Amino acid sequence: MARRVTPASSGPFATLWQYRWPYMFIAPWYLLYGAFMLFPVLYSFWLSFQDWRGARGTNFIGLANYQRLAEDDIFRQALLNTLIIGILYVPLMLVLALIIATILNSALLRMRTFFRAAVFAPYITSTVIMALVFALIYDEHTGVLNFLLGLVGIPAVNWTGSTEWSKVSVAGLLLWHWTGYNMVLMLAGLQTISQDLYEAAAIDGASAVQRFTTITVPMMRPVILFTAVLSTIGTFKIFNEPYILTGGGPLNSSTTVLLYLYNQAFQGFKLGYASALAYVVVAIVFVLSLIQFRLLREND
Amino acid sequence: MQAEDFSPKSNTTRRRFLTLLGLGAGASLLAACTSSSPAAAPTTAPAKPAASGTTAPSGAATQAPAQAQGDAALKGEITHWGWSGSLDALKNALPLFNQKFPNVKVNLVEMATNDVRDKLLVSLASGTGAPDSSGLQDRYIPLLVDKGGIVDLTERVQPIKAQFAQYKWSAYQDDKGKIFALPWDSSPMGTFYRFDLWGQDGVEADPDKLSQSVETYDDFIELGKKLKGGHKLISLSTNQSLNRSASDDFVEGLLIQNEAHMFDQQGKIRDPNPKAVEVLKLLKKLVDSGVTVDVGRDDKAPWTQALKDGVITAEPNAVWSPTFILPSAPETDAKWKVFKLPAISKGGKRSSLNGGSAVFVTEQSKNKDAAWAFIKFMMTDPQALAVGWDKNQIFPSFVPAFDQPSFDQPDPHFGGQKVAKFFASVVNEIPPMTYTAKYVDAHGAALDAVTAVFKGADPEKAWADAIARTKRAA
Repeated sequence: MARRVTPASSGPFATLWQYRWPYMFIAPWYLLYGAFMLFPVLYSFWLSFQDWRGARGTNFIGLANYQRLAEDDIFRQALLNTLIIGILYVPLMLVLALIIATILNSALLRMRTFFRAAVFAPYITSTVIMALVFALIYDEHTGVLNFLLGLVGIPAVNWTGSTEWSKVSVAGLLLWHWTGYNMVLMLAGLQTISQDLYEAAAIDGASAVQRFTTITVPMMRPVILFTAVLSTIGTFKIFNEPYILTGGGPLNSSTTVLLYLYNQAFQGFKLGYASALAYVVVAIVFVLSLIQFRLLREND
Repeated sequence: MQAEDFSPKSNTTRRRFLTLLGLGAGASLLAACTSSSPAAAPTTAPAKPAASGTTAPSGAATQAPAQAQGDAALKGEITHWGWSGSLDALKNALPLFNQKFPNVKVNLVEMATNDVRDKLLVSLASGTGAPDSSGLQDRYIPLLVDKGGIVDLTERVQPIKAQFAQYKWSAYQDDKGKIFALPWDSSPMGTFYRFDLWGQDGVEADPDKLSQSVETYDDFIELGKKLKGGHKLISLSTNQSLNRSASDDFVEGLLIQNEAHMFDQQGKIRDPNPKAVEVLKLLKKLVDSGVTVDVGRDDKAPWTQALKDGVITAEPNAVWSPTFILPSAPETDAKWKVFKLPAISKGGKRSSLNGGSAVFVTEQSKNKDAAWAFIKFMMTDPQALAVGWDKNQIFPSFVPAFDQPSFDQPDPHFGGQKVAKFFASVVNEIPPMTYTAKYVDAHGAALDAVTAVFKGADPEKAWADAIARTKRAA
């Protein structure tokens, strides 16, 4: 209307001033993001080259934190544990999620909403409560798992207290917790696949299994990639489950990288060292995600 | 774990989870205090008026040099931080303080146990937001001393230093011998045991006689073997680790008792440490002899069940341990007594410690004199300390306080045994414990060594590994 926009006042500051109200409305998010996300991320990068000494300040120590990390055998063990736990539950979880999603997507199923909610329920259950219940299930002497195994003649297993099985226990809890969440993502993916494809295949005489492997799986590749990447990132952030179930033990056999980071940062208060550790983990997750993208893209 | 991406949301869940844990711990502490104090009130409450009415004047006369002299000229407002149980003790004794210092206003701020440590570190490091004074567990004080921000109290404590249980001081010193905190609760250990079950099973059940006859852990094991009907001695988890910290009381207690903890009194790593190897062998022997139950307090449900079922009939632990035993198994109330810890080998120390705390003044305080007057009064006034024991089960380390009648009462929760008197008698036997800023590393390494030995590793090698790991830690 009568608003004048002269070339003379169109510098960056003038533009900023012109849009001051919209900027002010979006400012809270950026301020919070800056204070609680961006600043800590940058600060911990700086901190990873320092020896944090609390009220006595910080000392620049160059790459000493990273050097020590390279020689830290518990960190190496924690990395290995995290990878093993990931291998134990991620592939199995994605396969299960896809199969369950396919079943729940079937038009033949009754009470679909109920079953979908039931499968999703573990995801919205508090991890603390879940881990405590699983501790009861896994208990060597009184747990229901060993009771059931005993019925078929398998001797009692010390699920959470032995170096051999502690990772399996953690992976089992993760599997139970996250399958429902991935199922929902898969379900959303399935509903984007046109029914025409299935009808055409059925007319051509393809069985249900054939339709699954030749239509569902290829069409679902982007969703599978998405869940696989998220699960891999998630694996490196496992904390609650081992913290409550096993405490990372015995003998660090279920200590994950994040649990080790927590121990260094908030038990030992070695904030510089913990920052270096965090950046190494970020680098690893970044590389793993890239590899996954490559692998799944190449097949296209 | 997909939902947890790098968004602010995941921080919220993490923090909420930690808060939940904190709340849980706080709630159980609260439960511990509330469930045991009303029951304790009938016996201890009548003693209270007597304490303040008759003995206080004479007590005040004899303690005069040690006590904080009242001073109406001291003015100001101070803030003091603490966790639930301990802060209640200060709250209860605050009127006593204000009688002598009417113009010092004290704001007591309560928070979850680990929040005190975390918030102190953060506020001291950032240079703003710290209280004038605060309490903290002994094991974290060296961390504060190392990271700075708390006041050197060396000169102020000098006149009263001799009156505290001496083992406490090494925890608060820096490498130059400067002292940064004032001891609060001592945490002497004894062997709590079910005198009803031991009596039924036909073994000795009198605490004084047990202190005599069960001289070493070998004697203890022999006694355990005589128990009948599925009764065992103690719970001892073979899965010890840093994050299962509720299960390690006995393990750490043994190391301290044998003067075998990772650090010597000067804070140097003990290397070699044959006495620690001795402890590892003893732990293995205890488990192998079949007198232990393989659960820890971190295995909440099975542990509680074993306690209720009377499978666990003994708990070698600190004076405050009834605050978690009795709420977990209320039906065992009044069925426990306590005798001296057995020695690791004949002639060895008969007591140890688990926990304990101290108070200190921060550099940020604008009223250090008032803050010092407050903590000094609370730590050295026999009446205030008696209130802390009566109402909040906080067992002091200021030795003259033990002359108060509160520390000479038969305790109905312990079959009428004079429990406080028993613990007062062992306080001076406790070996010193120097935690150092590397405590968490050392503790984690020690617990892993213990677990390794339980799984069959050679004790000598396991402890050598623990030493190496502690040395490597920054």
